[in-house]
Amino acid sequence: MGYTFTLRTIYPYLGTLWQAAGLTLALSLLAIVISIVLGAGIAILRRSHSRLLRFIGAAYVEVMRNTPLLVILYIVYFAGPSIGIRLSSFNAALIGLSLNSAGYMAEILRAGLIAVAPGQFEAAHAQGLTALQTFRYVVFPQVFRTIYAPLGNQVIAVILASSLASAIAVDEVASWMETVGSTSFRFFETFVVAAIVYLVLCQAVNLGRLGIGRMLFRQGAVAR
Amino acid sequence: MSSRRTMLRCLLACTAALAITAGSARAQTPSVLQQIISRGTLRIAVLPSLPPYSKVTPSGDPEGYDIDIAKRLADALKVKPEFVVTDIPGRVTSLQTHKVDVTIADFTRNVERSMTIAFTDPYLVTTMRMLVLDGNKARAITDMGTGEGIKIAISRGGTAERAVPAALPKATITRFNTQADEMSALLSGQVDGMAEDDFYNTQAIKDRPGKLRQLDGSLARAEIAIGMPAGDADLHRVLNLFVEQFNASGDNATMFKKWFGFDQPAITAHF
Repeated sequence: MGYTFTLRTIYPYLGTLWQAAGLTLALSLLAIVISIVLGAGIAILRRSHSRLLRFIGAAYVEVMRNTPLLVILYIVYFAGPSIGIRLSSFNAALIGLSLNSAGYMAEILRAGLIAVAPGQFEAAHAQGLTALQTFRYVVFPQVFRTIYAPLGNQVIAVILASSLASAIAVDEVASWMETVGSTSFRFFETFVVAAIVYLVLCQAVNLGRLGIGRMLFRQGAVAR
Repeated sequence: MSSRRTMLRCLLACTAALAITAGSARAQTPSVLQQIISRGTLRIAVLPSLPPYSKVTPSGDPEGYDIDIAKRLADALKVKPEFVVTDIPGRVTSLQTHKVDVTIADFTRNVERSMTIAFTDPYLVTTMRMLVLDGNKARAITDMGTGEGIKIAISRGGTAERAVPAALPKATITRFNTQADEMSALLSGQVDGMAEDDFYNTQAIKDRPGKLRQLDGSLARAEIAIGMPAGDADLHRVLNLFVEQFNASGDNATMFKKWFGFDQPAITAHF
């Protein structure tokens, strides 16, 4: 007798799937927002006139890009308590994911900053804009348009990477998959359902990103 | 709208994948017992890092209690053992896809699981107990009350999923993929206790003198059995006879003592 793929067998576990999907979505969206803010700061550091600040920015990016996310999650969750930082699973995962993603966000944003011609900074300065005003009104609107497509990649990468949070006891979709698989031994069904949930979540967030892009850049060609 | 088209394409691909899985599952295969005899080898799924049940040595060969049982079984069937090292999901999926003939890997049987694969009679019965740091105030599981404000580490989808909420209804269940992660959580103070196999706990206490201890009382009883694909009555008959005689002859008790260092608890249950 062979194996019969029967989705019916995991119906009793679907109740916990919605909670798990909600947790994956909350964790990913928060990490995306935090890592954009953090990444913007680091990208600015990397364009600084100070050699020390440039070094700090570059070091951050290289450390985060060259260490596995799983190791960062383990350090935050398991090693944190030994230096007096005791975080819940969710908070530890959020911090680990944000720190890691910020390394990539910084590089994406830096590419956007480089694309803004130096003449524009000079022009803004000549118009009497402060540094903050220059970033707010001249630089960032152009940066966001340039980076919109690579940003989409990173947004999806964060959602998929959030599946590692199950290693530090966050009950998100990957955790649901392992838990229900091990309980019912219906691994094929749970693998397929988890894959579909991630597909739908990533597409939903991606469509949301495209929608925001359309609102922000009404005139001219929309970067996808 | 290329994104909508991409989505549609993905959905189509998923549907196709489902259809293929369902289709191939219906294909006819000769009996597993007959395949083992014709092939001359018994393919056994084992876990790589669960000493003393099983572990992979630096030379790549597995060894341990489960491995010795597998070798004994292959001997009894007059075929060669072929070990397939796998992970927790692989213990089940490799049986379902016929990549292995049997799984001998600290496999706990229950009714829900036996709806997808078959289990032999148990060759080992363990109890699940609570491991805590030595400084913990509780002496017994009952000292933890309803478990309010207490975090307990468990293995995802294991026996503890039901056993811990039954004993400590208000405890926070903290799920991990491996026992090593549960141990890290306990030692770092992220959880107050971990619910694990008595044998695992005993070894852990021995490995870390003065740091850990077990609470009195047990959470659940777990029957460890050999797993095999469902639907092969002949193989099931042969394996059950093997287990029964392996238990009755005392060979099991000897093998257990060799790997665990203490006497094997009774396999029969008190009703």
